[in-house]
Amino acid sequence: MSRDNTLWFVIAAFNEGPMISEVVRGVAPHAQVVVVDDGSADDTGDQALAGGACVATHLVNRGQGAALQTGIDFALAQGAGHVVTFDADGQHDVAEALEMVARCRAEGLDAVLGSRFLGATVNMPFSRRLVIKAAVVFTRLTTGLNLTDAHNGLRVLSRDAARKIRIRQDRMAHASEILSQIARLRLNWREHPVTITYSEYSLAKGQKISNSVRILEDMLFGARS
Amino acid sequence: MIVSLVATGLFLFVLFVAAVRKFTFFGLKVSVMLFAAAGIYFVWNPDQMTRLAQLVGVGRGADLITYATTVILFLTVVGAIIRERRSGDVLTLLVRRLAIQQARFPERPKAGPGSRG
Ligand SMILES: Nc1nc2c(ncn2[C@@H]2O[C@H](COP(=O)(O)OP(=O)(O)OP(=O)(O)O)[C@@H](O)[C@H]2O)c(=O)[nH]1
Ligand SMILES: [Mg+2]
Repeated sequence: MSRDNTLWFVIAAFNEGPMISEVVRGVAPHAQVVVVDDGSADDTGDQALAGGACVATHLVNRGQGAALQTGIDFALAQGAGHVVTFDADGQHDVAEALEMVARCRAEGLDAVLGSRFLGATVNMPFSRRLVIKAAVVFTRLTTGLNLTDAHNGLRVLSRDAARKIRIRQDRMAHASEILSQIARLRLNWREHPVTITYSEYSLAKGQKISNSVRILEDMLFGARS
Repeated sequence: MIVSLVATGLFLFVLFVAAVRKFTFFGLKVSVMLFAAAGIYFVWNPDQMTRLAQLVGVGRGADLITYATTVILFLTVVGAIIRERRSGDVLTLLVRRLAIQQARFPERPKAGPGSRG
């Protein structure tokens, strides 16, 4: 397992101090890592650095969308050939991410999107399932993409796709925005089964239902053009 | 009487500010000035307000004022939200630029070339 220096994992992290270095250590033997510490109040940045990641620090919290765009820009500037977006809370599986990269390369795809509904979920709360299923229906209708999952943070983008996609939604609405840009740019994408694990740690931090209202509000008001 | 004088003073102030200040578009300036002028007129001629209200099918002048105030407040809030979001976007661009400029790299003993790009 040699390290692939053209492969960059982009991890947006907000107050993930207890978990981030473990997540980074899981990735670092295989690929380069940039953690965007999004104005965390804890030691997320130092932990990520200690784990072997490059760290870009947002001085104030701007949200996961903004942080991912920062990380993608950083990775592209470092010469990334492929970019993986990866969660900081340990919900994603590195081996599956690497499978997705291999598939992206082998099939010459622009994007490979993780799907927990093609794959599996561990301990996913019912309410979360409902909200995401609703998001899937909504995304299918608005983008015309034939998806089985939406708002899945595990994605692989080719360098070209990562350059074309520009995230303008600072907060969680970026997940819908990325999909609508994939549709508009007519990128060549596939879904890939992944396992999303809802650990006690990730559940304590994860998205509350109330946040889906904020996502709709963000989509309604749009983003800077 | 005192209330009328205070209201007149406020409307005069709005009129003055609107006359002097720059607006994003001229129509808005004219609207605000007309609004303030109408305000002064109706403060001293409340019966006319009621006549106007009945003209547009609202019972009393006071009701019309309530509706108008609600609409204006709503538009003001929406405008404020839009402005707040714009300045948030500017802040994001700044924060992101700084983050990339000041990125930290891990210690990498005998790292291969390219790790600092
Ligand atoms: N940069 C940044 N990252 C965030 C922010 N909020 C959450 N994140 C990161 O985004 C990732 C996913 O966040 P979650 O809140 O778990 O969202 P999710 O995985 O879509 O939702 P769940 O299905 O409930 O787990 C984690 O790696 C978080 O650290 C934020 O404000 N800024
Ligand atoms: Mg999560």
